[in-house]
Amino acid sequence: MNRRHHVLDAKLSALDDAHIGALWRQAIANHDADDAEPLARQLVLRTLPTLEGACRLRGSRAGMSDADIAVAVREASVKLMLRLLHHDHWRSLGGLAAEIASEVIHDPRRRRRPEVNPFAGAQSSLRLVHDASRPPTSQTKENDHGRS
Amino acid sequence: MDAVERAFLAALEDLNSGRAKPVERYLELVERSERDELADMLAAVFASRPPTADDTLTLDSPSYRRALAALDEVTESAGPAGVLPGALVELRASRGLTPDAVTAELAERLDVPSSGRRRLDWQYFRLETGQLAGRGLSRRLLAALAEIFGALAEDFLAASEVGGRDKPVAAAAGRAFTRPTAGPSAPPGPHKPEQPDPAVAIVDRLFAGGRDA
Repeated sequence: MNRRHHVLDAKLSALDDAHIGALWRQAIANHDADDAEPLARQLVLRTLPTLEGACRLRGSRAGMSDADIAVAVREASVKLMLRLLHHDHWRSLGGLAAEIASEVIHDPRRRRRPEVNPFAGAQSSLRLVHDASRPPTSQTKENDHGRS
Repeated sequence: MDAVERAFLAALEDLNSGRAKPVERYLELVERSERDELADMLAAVFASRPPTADDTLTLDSPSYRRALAALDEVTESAGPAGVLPGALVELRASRGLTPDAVTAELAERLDVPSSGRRRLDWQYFRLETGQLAGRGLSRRLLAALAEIFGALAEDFLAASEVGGRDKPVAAAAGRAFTRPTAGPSAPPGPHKPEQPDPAVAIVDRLFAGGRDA
């Protein structure tokens, strides 16, 4: 857990959206990625409802499970933050978040978790030995009879 | 008014009155062939709508915690290669890729000869563990990585330049021994050929030869 970042998160959370946006644009204009990073982080956290809503909307439409959508939200959060480290040619942060969410959901290279439990269909190979006193046959092994 | 418009207006009305239903309920109101169109329209509303009280995520909400964990993974990695190492680890985990799978794709995309594969594995391990300098990473490498992870090369370029400008590479190298590895495979040891191998030189240029290598 990175305490320094969380302390910065808490401090920045006290500022309104316009103030955060102005500070962030200033950092980008100055090509100061170090200053831009905590502000980009803060912008991502503030845009999370939009990001999650867009992922859920697109994901459910694409037949993704809740678990897949949750992973997509994580990925979209990271990608939005990377974009905000350098790119300021957008008109609406929500629009940018929705665009990235759409790219993440529709990326054909994304791997989805299998919807069916791979172990659910496995057939048990255990069988009962009804007569433990019977000598082993070619079908039963010595351990099937237990040990006395 | 067609079915898409009716469903869209119904969703809008519900959203505005704070009675929004799950998205699937609205998509079910139209034909399958029309769902993409409706989804686009609803996504635009989501994007343009100012946050409401219902949208406010609390610090305890699973969504907030998940996103915070993802961002922490990225920002905690800040070092000589910026926040790129953490971003690569997080994106790789998100896509269920092993380091081997990533380097196999890199080898293919960057035409690395098979004799350089072990060196590639090692250099990628060093990149993910913050042991390489961001400015040494070539644009070709960053572009190939961006393609693998469905990102923009510019995003990875910017990520590799954040923070750590004053941190020597050696200082960050220690983290390689404490950082949990996300992939199942053990990090390969450094490849030290007795005779210089051109494939090794190709790999080294990609990871440490600078932007234009």
